[in-house]
Amino acid sequence: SRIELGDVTPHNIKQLKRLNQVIFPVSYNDKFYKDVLEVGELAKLGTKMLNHVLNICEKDGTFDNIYLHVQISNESAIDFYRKFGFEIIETKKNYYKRIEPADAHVLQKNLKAPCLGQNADVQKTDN
Amino acid sequence: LGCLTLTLLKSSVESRFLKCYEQKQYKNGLKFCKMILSNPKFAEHGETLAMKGLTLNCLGKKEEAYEFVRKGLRNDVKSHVCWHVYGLLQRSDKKYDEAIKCYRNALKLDKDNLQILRDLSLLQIQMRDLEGYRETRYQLLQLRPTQRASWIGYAIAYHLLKDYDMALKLLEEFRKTQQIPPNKIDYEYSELILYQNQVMREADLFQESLEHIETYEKQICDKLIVEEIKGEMLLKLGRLKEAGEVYKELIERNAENWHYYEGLEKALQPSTLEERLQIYEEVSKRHPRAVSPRRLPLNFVSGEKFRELMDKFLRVNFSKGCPPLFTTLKSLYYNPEKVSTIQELVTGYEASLKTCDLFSTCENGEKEPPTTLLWVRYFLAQHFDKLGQCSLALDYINAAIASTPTLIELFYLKAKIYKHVGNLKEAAKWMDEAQSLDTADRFINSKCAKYMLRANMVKDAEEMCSKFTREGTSAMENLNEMQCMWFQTECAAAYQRLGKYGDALKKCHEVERHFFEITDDQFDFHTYCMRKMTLRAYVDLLRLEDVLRKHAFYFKAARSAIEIYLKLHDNPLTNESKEQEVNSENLSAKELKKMLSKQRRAQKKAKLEEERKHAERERQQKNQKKKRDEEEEETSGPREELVPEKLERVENPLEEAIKFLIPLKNLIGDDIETHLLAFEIYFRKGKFLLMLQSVKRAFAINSNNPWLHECLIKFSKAVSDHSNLPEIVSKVLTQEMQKIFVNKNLESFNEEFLKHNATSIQHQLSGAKMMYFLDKSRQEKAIAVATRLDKNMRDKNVKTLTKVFEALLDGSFGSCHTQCEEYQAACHKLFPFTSAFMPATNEDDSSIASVNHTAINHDLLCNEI
Repeated sequence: SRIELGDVTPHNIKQLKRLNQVIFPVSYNDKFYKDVLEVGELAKLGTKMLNHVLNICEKDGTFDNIYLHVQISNESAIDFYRKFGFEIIETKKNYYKRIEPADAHVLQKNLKAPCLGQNADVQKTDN
Repeated sequence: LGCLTLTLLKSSVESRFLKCYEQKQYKNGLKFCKMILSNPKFAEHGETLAMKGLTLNCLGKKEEAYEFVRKGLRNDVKSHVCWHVYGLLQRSDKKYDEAIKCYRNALKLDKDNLQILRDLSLLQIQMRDLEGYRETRYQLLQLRPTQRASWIGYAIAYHLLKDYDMALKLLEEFRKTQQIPPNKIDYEYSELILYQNQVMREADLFQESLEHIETYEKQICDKLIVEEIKGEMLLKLGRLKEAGEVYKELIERNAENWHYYEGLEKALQPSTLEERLQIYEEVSKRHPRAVSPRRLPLNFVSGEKFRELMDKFLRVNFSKGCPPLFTTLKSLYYNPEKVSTIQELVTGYEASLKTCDLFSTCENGEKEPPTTLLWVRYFLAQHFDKLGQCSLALDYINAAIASTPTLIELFYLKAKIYKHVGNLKEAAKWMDEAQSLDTADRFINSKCAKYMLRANMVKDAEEMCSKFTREGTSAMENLNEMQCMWFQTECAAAYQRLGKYGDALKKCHEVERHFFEITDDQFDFHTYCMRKMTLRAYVDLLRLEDVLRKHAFYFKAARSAIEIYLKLHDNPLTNESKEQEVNSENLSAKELKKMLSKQRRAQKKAKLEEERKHAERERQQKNQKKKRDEEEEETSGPREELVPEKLERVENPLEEAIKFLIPLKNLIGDDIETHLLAFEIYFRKGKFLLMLQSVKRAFAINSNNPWLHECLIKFSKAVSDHSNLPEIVSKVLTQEMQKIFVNKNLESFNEEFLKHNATSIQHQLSGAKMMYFLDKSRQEKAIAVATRLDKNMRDKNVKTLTKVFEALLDGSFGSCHTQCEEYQAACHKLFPFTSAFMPATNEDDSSIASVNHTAINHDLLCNEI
C-alpha cells in the first residue's frame, strides 16, 4: 500500500483531532492543538508529546517504567530519548521485518527510582 | 481661418480624435475639441460639440454627453460625423437598434465612410442581422480589397447564412493571396485552413475536405484535429480500412477518448460480440493502465461475460482505491440484471474482506490493505442509496466512517444520503462536518453552502461562502459580481420556499442580468477574432451565444421567477403589513390593543431595518461607483438597483413572468415544463389561443404527463365557462380540443386517466386533484385515491409521497386535517428518516435518533480499543 505524508495546517487540524479522539483513549485539550500548529519542527512536537505522556504517568502514580523500541541506527532518536532519562537495557535482533538494520534497542525509563542526571529543564518547562 | 483650412483641420482632427477615442485617451480627445471650440468662430461647431459630448460620455458624465451631442446634431443635421457620434453614444448605452438607425443616417450622408461602415457591421452581427451584415461587409470589401479583414468578414457572413459555396470561393481566393511558403508554419494561416475545412464539412463536402486537409496538413499547427478530421471523413466516405488505421493511431495518442472507440468500431464493423470485445482487449494489452478499454465493454456485454469483466474491473479499482468508481458505473443502473450482478459481487467482497482481507473466501493470494474494505463499503453505501434503500446505505457509510473518520468523501456521501431521503437539516449538518475537516477546500465549502440553502439556511450559507469570497464586500455581493449562478439559483429557490418573494426575485433578476452581460460581452470579439484569425473559435462563440439561455441556470432562474410571479398574481401583497391577519373575535379589548401596538412596533422596527438596509446599500453602491470611477474611465451607468420590496409589488406580475418565459419558449421548447409554465401564465391572462398552443405543444411531448392533465382539465372547463368568445376562436378551440378529449366529458376523461395510470402515484394524485376540482362533493373519494399506498404502486419514493402530502396540506383537497395526519403516519412507516413525515412532537426524538446513530458507533469503537 502507498503512504503519503502531508502537513498539518489550521485548515485540516480537525482531522488530527479526530484521529486522536478515535485512536487514543485520552483526549487532548485545545491548547495542545494550538501548540501543534505553532510548532514547526517534529522534534519540538516530539518533546511535547513525550512530556505529555510522562506527566500522565506521573499523575497516575501506578506506572513502574516506560519502554520503547528504537532501530539501532537511529542515533538522533536514541539521543532524544536519553535526554529524557531513558537507557538502553537490551538489544533485540531482527525485530523489524522490512527495514535494515533489522535490530532494535530497547530503551527504558524507570519511573519509581529517583531521576539523576536528567535534563531538569526538559521536565519542568512544558506542562 | 478659411473653409479649406478648416476642412483640412477638421478631417485630421476628426481622425485623430477618433483614434484617441478608440484608445480610450479621453483627456487628449477633449483637448482637441477645446482647441476648436475655443475659436469664437467655431464655438457652435456641430461636429466638435458632438465629439465633446461623446468624450464626456466616456468619462461618465452621461447627461452632459447627450446634451452636447444633441446640440451638435441640431446645429449640423447634415453632418455624418454628428450622426456617427450619436450612434456611438447609443451603442455605449446598449441601445443597439437606435444606434443602427443613426449609422444608417450617417451613411446616407457619407456612403463610403469606412469607420461608420465598420461600426455598423459590428452592430449588425451583434444583433444577428445577417443579411445586413453581409451587405455592409460587401461594401467594406469594395472599399478596401487589400485588407484581409474585409475578405474574412464577407466570407463569414456567407458561412453564417449557410451559403457555403460563396463562403468557400471567398476563402479560397483569400487563401491564395496569403502566399505562405509550403515549409513555413504560420499560426494564422493554419487557423484559416482549418476554418476553411470546417465550412467544407458543414457543407457535407467530405471528399473535398479530406483532400484539402491532406494537401495542407504540414502547415497546420493543430496536429490532433488533422487526424480527427481524417478519421471522420474517411468514415463518411466509406473508406473503412483507412479510417480504422487513423482511429488506432488516435487511440495510441489517447486511450481514454470514447469518441475514438466509437470511430474504431464504425471502421472495423465487428459482426460478433467476441470481435467487438477483441478490439478493446487489444487496446488494453497495449495500454494496461487505461480505464476506458475496460469500462466500455461493460456497456454492451451481459450475463456471465458481464460478471467476469465486472469482477475484474471492480477488484482492480477497489485495491487501487478509486473514489469515483460508483460514478463511473452509475450509467449501468438502468439495467436491473447488471445491478443485481454488481450487488452480488460487491456485497460478497465486503463479507470476505471483513473476515480474511481477501476479495473471496475461497482464494489465496496477497492480502488486501485495509483501505480496500473502506472503498467497498463506500461503494455499497452509494449503491443502496441509488436503489432507494436508505437504511442500508446509512449502515454501510457509518461502518466506513467508524473505520476512517477523517475521510471527507464519507461525510459528503452521508450528507447526500440524507438529502435523498428528505432530511435536509441532517444533510446540511453532515456536509458541515465534511467541510470542517478541510477548510482550505473550496469545493466542499461550496457543497456545504448549497446544502444549507436546500435546508433554507440562507444566512448560514452566506457565512459559509464568505470564507472564500473577497474581503471588504458582503458575500452575496461578491458572489453576484463573480456571476456565481449556482449559488444565486439555489438561493432564489430557498427564498421562494421561505415565502420571501422579493428576495427571491432579486436573485432571479441578477441571474438574468448575467445572461444579458454574457451576450453583450461578445461585442469586442467581432473585431478581435477577425484580427487574430481565430475563426473557428469565433464562429463557435457566435453559435454559443445564439443558444445561451438554453443553459440550466437560466431555466432554473426563469422557472422560479415565473412561479413566484404566478403566486403574486394570485395573492398580491398589500402595502400594509405583510403579517398575519388579526383574529380579533377571540381577543378582549385590552388584548387586542396590546396586539395592535405590538404589531405597530414590529412594523416600525421592520421599517427602520429596511431603511437601514437601504441606506447601507446606497452607501455601498456609492463606494462601488467611486471605486469604479477611480479605476476605469469608461462607465456605462450602473444598472438600476434591484429592490426586493419593489420587485414583489410589481404592477403586472404576469408581464414580468412572460419576459422570463420568452427565451424558454424559443430555446427550451423540448422541455414540457416550458409549455406548462406558459399555460399557467396564459390561463391567468385569459388568452385562450395561447393556452391552446401551450397544451398542444406539451401534448406533443408527453400526452400522459400528470401536470399536463391538470392543465387540460382546467383549460377545458375555462373554455366551457366562457360563453362569449369570438366565433372563430370558439371554432378553433372546439376543433383542436376534439383531438385531445375525443368527445368525452371531463369526468370520464379524468376517470380514464386514473384507470390508465393505476400504478403511478403521481398520476393518481393529479387525477384525484381534478376529481375534487370538478366536483367538491367527492372530496373523500378523491383523497382516498391520492393517498393510495398499495403494493403495486411503482413510484413509492420520498419525492412522490412528499408531493401528495403537500397537496393535502395546501388546500388542493379542501380541508382534510385527519386524513393529512393519517397519511403522514403511513409515510413515516415507509420512510422513517424523512423530516416531512416525522410527527411534529417527535422532533426531539428525531434528533435523538441521529445522535444514537453516532453514539452506537462510538461505543463499538471503544470496545474495539
